[in-house]
Amino acid sequence: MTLLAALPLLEVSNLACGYERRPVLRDLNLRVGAGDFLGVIGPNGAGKSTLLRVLAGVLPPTAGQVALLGRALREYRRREIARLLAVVPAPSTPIFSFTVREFVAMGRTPYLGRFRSESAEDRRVVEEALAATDLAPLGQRLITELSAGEWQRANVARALAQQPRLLLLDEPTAFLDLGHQREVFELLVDLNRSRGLTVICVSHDLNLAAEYCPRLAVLAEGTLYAEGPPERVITADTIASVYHAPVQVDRGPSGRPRVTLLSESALRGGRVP
Amino acid sequence: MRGWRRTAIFVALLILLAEATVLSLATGPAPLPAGKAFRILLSPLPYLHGLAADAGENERNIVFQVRLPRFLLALLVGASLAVAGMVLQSLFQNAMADPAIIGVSAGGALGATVAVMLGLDFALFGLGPRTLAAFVGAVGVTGLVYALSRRGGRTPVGLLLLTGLAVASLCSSLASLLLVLGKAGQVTDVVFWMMGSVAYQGWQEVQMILPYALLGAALAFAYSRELNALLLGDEQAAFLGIPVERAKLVLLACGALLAAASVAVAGIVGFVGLIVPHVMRLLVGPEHRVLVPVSFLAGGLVVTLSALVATMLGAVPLGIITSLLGAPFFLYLLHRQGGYRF
Repeated sequence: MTLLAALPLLEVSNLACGYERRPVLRDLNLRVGAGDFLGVIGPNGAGKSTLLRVLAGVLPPTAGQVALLGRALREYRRREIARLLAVVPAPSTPIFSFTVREFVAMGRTPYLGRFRSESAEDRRVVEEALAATDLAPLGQRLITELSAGEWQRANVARALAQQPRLLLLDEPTAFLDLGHQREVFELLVDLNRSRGLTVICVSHDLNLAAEYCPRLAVLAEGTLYAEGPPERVITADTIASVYHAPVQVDRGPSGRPRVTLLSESALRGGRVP
Repeated sequence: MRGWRRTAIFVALLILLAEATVLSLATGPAPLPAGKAFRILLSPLPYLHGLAADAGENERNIVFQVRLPRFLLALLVGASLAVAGMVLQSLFQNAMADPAIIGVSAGGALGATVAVMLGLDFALFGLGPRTLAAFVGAVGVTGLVYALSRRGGRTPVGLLLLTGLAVASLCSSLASLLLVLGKAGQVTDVVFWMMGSVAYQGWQEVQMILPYALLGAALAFAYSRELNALLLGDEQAAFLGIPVERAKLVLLACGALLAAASVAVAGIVGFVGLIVPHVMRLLVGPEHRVLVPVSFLAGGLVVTLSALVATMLGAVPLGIITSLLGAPFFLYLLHRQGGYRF
């Protein structure tokens, strides 16, 4: 038990990966323990989404390895991976008119045999996933008729129906307005705290990531640039050198760092601290 | 809600198919009342022999040797094409996919043309060279399309689609070239075959397509979960634990064999594989555990009814009827939907 608890849920060592001849990730090392909530930030093209796809096992590394519960990801069968980790993909508009319930029930795929229909246990898990994301009343609604926030919650519900240990999210709040951004992150924090679900979330929004993630990893040019709690990672120097943009960093009401972009006029106005 | 609608559509399809069965047996050059045709159909069953005591040998022959095989062939061809179209649409995540898109129809046409032009003359299990060559052509060309679309252990769907279009067009040109060089009788033979028909076939053709239709549909049903997940895209299906490349290979083979078997026995019957799954998806939704059986029944119904119309009009080829009815209906659907939606 203590041995298992000491084992990191996910361990990335000397990872390199790329498409064709263009390397996207290199020399990347990262440990994620059970119950962690890690935000992955970094500029466009830094390799955030690629990292997520490697962690999910759909993109094989060209060097190094990803170990899930101490065992190399490539030694797992696809189905076994899907029982341990679930992915909430980057937001897209659904064009297939499944009902919300049908869509969420797809999360049971890695548990169902070819000729087995959903058991009472499967149905219970699906209902619970719907309840956890406040979608229970919308079960019969078509996914093509959901609002952007509801659709993103449905994606989280489907991931929860996989009963994963680890949840991977790719820009879950892209294209969402403030209210829906808050809704999604509050849900993730709640799942992390109440169920001990491990979360790795790629985000383009520095302030959201800093506000909600207890730990951040900054990717730049395909490798880990900095890692640690937001207070340590989000500094004006780090952000300015990674994003190539002048910023001011101060503290928000929660005490977490707050990043403000400095425009040309702000710089000229001399109001830089 | 959807549950009720699904049951209603399933029951309606079964009732309409029963009606189509009786009508198909009663319709033809020789008049036969529907009631009598139905009694003749039931008479081989145990204890029911007396039902058709008033029917002559000739009427029995018409029912069992001409109209029943024609009906069953139409049913199986329609069911196969609809399930094939459904499988390919989900595989390509594209409502406009149909068996023609992976080269099945063009490959079948090329095979049939070669057989007729070479004047091949042999038979296997009672099947002529044109049927067998069409099957080999359809399966072979689909295999070629698949092989040409492999890139580093993967088969990108977009590449498969474009390769299919190019190879299909190549096959069509080759078939046309052969036709130009052919004799008048041969050309007529091939052209009529390409229009699709079930009017002159018998039990051998039914026997040929039966295992493909049943096993293919059963396979598609067994792969319902994979089809559901693939509708969301290859990567998402992988996230749900599906070995995507293997599933795609199995489903592509399933769609190709279903379509190839129907092209072999009935020539090119257009629009069924495109429209039937499309309309059924609009009616019952994209859940494949429902969509597979419903498409099977609806495809069978549409083609038996089209064959009925073809029979009533005389010697009009079946493929002309399905296209004449299908194309305007499809245009209407596109117009009504005002867009592109599954």
